[in-house]
Amino acid sequence: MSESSAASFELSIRAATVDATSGGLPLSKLGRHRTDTRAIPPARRTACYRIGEVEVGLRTSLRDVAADFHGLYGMHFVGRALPGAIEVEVDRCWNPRCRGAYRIRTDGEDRFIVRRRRSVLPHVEWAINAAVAASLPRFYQVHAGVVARGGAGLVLPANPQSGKSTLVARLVTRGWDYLSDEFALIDPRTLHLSPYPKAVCIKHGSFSVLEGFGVRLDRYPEYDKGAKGRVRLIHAQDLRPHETPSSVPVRMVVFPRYADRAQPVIRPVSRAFALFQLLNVSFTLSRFRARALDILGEVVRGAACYQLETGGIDAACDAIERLWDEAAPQEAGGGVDAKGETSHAVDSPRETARPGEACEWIHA
Amino acid sequence: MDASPGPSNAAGSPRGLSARSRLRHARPAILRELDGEAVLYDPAAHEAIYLNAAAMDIWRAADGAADVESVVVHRAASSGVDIEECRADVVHVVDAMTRHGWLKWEASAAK
Repeated sequence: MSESSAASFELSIRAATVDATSGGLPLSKLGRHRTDTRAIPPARRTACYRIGEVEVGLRTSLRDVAADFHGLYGMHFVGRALPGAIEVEVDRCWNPRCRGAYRIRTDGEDRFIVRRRRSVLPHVEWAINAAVAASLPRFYQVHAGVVARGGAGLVLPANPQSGKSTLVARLVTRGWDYLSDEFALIDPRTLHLSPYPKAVCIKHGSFSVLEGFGVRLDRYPEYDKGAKGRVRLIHAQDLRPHETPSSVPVRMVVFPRYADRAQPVIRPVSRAFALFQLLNVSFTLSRFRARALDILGEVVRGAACYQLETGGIDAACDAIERLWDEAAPQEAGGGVDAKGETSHAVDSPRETARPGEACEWIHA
Repeated sequence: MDASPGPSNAAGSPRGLSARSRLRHARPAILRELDGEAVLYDPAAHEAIYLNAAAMDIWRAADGAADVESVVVHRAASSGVDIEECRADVVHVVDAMTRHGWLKWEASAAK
């Protein structure tokens, strides 16, 4: 197929939104709208945290839950109320169908009901993440890991199960600064990235990978994240003490995808394809709509864009760092030759995406 | 390019598409061009599609007046690619974009 071939041009999307209800037990089956007259009264005090740009107020009468959360976010604790914070409530729910399950609410709405104590913290995290899109309307939000080096940002946008948290964790241990393993918060005015340095959520399939690069996982409790399985929540400062950057420009965008191979494959993608892929993993496309094209279009215009099939974790990091060091942002990411054809050569994703075969839909 | 039964004929042409079919946009959309490629976004339906250089050319040419053959000729002239290859590209793009509701065609009045 020639480079000019149009036979491989298309993917289609709808907006992506945070899936706030696919963990734990379905609320509809647990009397979501019933009046819970026997719930334990919540504690009067709310513990407030400022986790980068995300402000959270946790209210719970369950001391062990509060202690767990504080163990992860103690360094972000602030000693005063934060009026605009995401309000998280965790309590026990004693109606006949819940039978003592834990109920997790954000901003007054039920998010999860989980039966086991070890399911609580990851679902609290999940509930907060689901509320971030609504609580930070000033940011354009992309589902991505974000790290920085030398005052510039690397964005790793991907859907769940792509290995981005593991990749982020390894990059942090190799000297990168952590901004988030889940959210790229883009300021539409400056196009800079702001941090949300939440705990890095490592799924059980990656436990051995982290242990392989020296992270002592026995220091971290194992939690149950429902359909996502066993996870551990790791504070990025435990991976390597560092200062969280407050605002960095995007220098590189790498779309990671896990592949069971020894060596990674990394290849440039055109800016248009990168823009499309970013739309595909956007949390706030429905709010920004056409403006999203301008924001993300400018982001990719100033960035080098690649697609990565991860192999061994260190080989993948080597490949990223080599490109980071070598690539001048304005030159990489899919130039155009005199004939108007993209100049980066083989294996561009569009050559493998055939109409009807590679149509990807993400439901709002 | 004929009107053989089924969704596509043996050459891959969508059913009913002919060289004289006039191409037009099926819905309003915003085009964001980057380095000769583009993303097309329909804010009403909240859908987007990625277009490489060839597909973007074809989208732009589909103004309701141009027929398939003129788009092929235009594409061959602008890209320097063999006309038969361009014809296959155009048919493929039109087929795909029609299936996803971005393009539509009308049979020419003149047979």
